Amino acid sequence: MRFMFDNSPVPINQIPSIEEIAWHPVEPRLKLQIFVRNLLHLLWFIPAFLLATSVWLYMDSIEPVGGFQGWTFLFQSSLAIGLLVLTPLLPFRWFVVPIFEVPKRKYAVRLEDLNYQRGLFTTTVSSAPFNRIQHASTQQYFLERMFNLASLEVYTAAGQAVQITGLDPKIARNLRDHVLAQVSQFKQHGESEENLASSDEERDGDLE
Amino acid sequence: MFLKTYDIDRWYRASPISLIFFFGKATHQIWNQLKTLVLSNGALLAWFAAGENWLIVGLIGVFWLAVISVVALAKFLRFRFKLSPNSISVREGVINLKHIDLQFDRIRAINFERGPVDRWLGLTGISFDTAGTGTAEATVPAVSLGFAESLRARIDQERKLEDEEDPEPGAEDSANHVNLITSLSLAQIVKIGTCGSGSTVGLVSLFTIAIPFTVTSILNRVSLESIGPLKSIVDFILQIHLSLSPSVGNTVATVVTVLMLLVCIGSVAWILQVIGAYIRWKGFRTFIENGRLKSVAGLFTVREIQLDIPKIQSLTFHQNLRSRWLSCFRVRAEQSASDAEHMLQIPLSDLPTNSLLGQTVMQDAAKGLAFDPNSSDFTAIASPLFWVPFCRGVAISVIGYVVVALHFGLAYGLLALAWIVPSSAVAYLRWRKAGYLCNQEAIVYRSGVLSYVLRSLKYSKLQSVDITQNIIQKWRHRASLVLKNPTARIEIPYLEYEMASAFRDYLLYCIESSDEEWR
Repeated sequence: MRFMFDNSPVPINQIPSIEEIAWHPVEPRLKLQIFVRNLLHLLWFIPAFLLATSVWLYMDSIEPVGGFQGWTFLFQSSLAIGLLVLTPLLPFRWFVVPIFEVPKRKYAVRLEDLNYQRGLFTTTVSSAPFNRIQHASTQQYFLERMFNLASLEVYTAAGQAVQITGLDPKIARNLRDHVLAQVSQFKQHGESEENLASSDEERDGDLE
Repeated sequence: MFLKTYDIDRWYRASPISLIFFFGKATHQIWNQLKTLVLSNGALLAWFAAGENWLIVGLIGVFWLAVISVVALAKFLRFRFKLSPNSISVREGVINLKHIDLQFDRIRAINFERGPVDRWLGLTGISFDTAGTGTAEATVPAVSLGFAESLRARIDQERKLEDEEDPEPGAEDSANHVNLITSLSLAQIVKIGTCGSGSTVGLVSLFTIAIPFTVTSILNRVSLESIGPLKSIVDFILQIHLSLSPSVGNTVATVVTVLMLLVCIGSVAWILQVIGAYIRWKGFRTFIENGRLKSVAGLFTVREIQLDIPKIQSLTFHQNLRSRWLSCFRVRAEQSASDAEHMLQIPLSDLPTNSLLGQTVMQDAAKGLAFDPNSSDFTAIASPLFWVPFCRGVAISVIGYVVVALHFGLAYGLLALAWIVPSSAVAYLRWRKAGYLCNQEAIVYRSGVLSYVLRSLKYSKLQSVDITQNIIQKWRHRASLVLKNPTARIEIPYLEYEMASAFRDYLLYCIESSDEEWR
């Protein structure tokens, strides 16, 4: 049972701001891991490219259906536009952007929450308070193991709140243990307060 | 008390009556897997029916009935449940085996579902919701009502112990009262049928089936014999068309006939929707009992849903175009990320009921908040929410114009330019409707294009907070603030960066400075 209810006003300038904290960057070798991963992704484009080329050539070789050349034009122009846009964009997005984007990935641990910021063009800062975290886990996928990297995933009741990729495995494990320790500390703190309140209640009952 | 009926730590099979439940579940599951296939082949089935190949239609029906029956029987035979002093375990699944162990103190909602056979035999299905999943975590079908009541009492007792240790402010005040919040009359059920999204779906599907038949028969004069069951309807429509043609001309007669047909189909869809609403919402009432928000409804299957008020995570008010004309809302109270069957829904609400619900669920946090989308208290979102999608729409139209005009000529290119009109209208309406209203403890966010959606949540229920900034937001020094809780996600776009940042810090302060454990 709660005996006191403190609702005194808080000066706005005393609320701690995330802007002022020290952020830690992720491992720079994450760039290389992303580069290799995207190189593997590129393999998927080979069959797609071959298929598109065959359809293009086939359409050129046959008479237009019903004498209407519009479908051939629409297919070929959309493919040409797609290639014109994708050819410079895809290598830029997959191989150039990570060089500048990875240094922007930073995390910070405060007494009460875990924060993660990422993104080059669109920047996102996520904050997960420890007293809302349900569980945390570390992952090491095949490519991550190759580059000696790991990721930390933190979940709240609303789903995945933070996923920090490109951590040193040791740091990831330490961070996970710290997060879980903080979470259990909050739970124990809550339970001890409840026990304290109930023992106070029992004592008051005895006195009466 | 349930120990008299079921022994502790012993696996039990569900009652044979539950075969009905498993049959329904199997049908639902198979339908979900195959609906795309069935819908895409609907024309083929219609062709069989029209050609009076009833044998093939019947064989298809018998085949699927057999498949569903086998799946239902297998599900029934594999299903087991077990009670322990503080938990219930469920083991189910034929190919994918699932074993769930639910601790009573983690259960957030226990709902009863009673079909006609259940009611006749004094049975009920119980479903258990926890915080984490999108559907009911586990369902035990066809258990005796007495057992279900005693199990609910046992779980309530467990939760009451937890609540007594850490009561939510105001929870004691709301306990031990039975207050009716709203109930529905027949006229209101008709309104629900009129506003329901199902009527739109019904209309679209009926159009899809009916239009090819009617248009081909009217315009191409195909043999009416091939249309089978629709013959008399098409014959009637054709007669109207033929009688109109000499006086108003063929084109106008066709347009009038098609319009008449659409009105007829719309009316049928509306009637079906009203009947559906009557079956689903007959006897609906929402009330507060012992500090819980409860609702009971249903003509054949009676669904009883109850939520612990302090554990409700968010309230959502919907108003579609038809509801706006009829000045009513559909309200959803969610305690966990449940599917539509297991969240508390009020299918027809008005402004006073909205306000009452807001105060009941949010208590002191509702002070100064309005649950009326037309309230002038909402703070508007900055203009980039309009001009960014507007510019995007213009750019797409211009590219489309260039591509089309190059090949088909300038006249056709203008058609591509016309895209600017709807895209701008949508961008403008979305911007005008977006807005937020907040106090020190809660927020209401308004959104929509033609409809309105109001999402409200208390800061104490938040799980995490994000700030995002895209290139335009960086240029304009603005940011989007994203608030997440288990049942709702509110994104306030184009706030001034300093404000978004200060708001985020304040929200984190609210969450982190609280000693109360989230529930």
